[in-house]
Amino acid sequence: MKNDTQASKKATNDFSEMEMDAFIQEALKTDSFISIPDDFADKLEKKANQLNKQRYWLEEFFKQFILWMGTMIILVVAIGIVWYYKPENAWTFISFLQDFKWILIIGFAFLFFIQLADSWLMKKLNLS
Amino acid sequence: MDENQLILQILSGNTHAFRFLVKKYERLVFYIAGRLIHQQADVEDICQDVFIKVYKKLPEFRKEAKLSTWIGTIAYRESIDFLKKKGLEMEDLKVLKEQELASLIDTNHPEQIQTQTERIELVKALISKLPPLYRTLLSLYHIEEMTYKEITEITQLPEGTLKSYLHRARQLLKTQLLKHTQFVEEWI
Repeated sequence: MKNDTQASKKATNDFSEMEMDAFIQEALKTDSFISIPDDFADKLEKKANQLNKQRYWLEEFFKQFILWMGTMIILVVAIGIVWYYKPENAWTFISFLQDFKWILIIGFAFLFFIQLADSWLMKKLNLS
Repeated sequence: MDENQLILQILSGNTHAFRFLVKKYERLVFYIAGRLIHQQADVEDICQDVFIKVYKKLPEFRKEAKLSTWIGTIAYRESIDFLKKKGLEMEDLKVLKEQELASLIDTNHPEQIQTQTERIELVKALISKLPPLYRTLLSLYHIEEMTYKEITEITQLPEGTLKSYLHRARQLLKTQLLKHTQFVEEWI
């Protein structure tokens, strides 16, 4: 075999650069202490999928959060205007909000999560 | 698949394309981390972290460098950071003087080297005795066939220093190899 030819007495007292390159290359290539697991790429694909899901939920949560924050700001501004100009029956409206504040908060939170679930479903069905 | 297309596919959330990228560059990353860190489990963890970082930071990749160089740089930095965190083996990363390096891989009782296979085995053994930085440089140059410019981008070493390290490592390996071959000639 070519690779197993005897170095023998004829061996030169020097190695050419090309020979050295070949030795180093072969030695590094066949280095057994570095082993790449067969399922390495599969594991990373799974991790990438998890990251995509996390990223999706974060983005979606942030989107919905901004949407609802906008709604809340409009609501607060509206209440502020009502309070400032004190039109007829304004106090009835404000006291209604005060009396049912927890029901309203729970209601809004419920709507928020429905909206979130809806966008998830849309994504699942590829409708978005 | 073209590199630009691959990047676009990954950015659009295609995890199969990412798997393809991992397959393409896993050897490069493993060779960089594996030369610097000894424990296989640590190497695997570092390599996973490298690819996760690549996945997260891909939108920031500006194509000023080749993708392989960019990934190599991340792998090199992650490995060095790991070593720094562990506070281990930093001595190995120190640049050694010519004599220190020679004594590190010197073998006083050379064995009989007769075949090409044995020579390669000897070179392998000698390389394993080299400091990690030298091993990394040899891998990048000889296995990944990177240019000096690409290696300097990855390791942040000046080109002159890099050339000197590579030359020094090759000369030492050559000296040791000759020593063994001459021994055989004299012995025969």
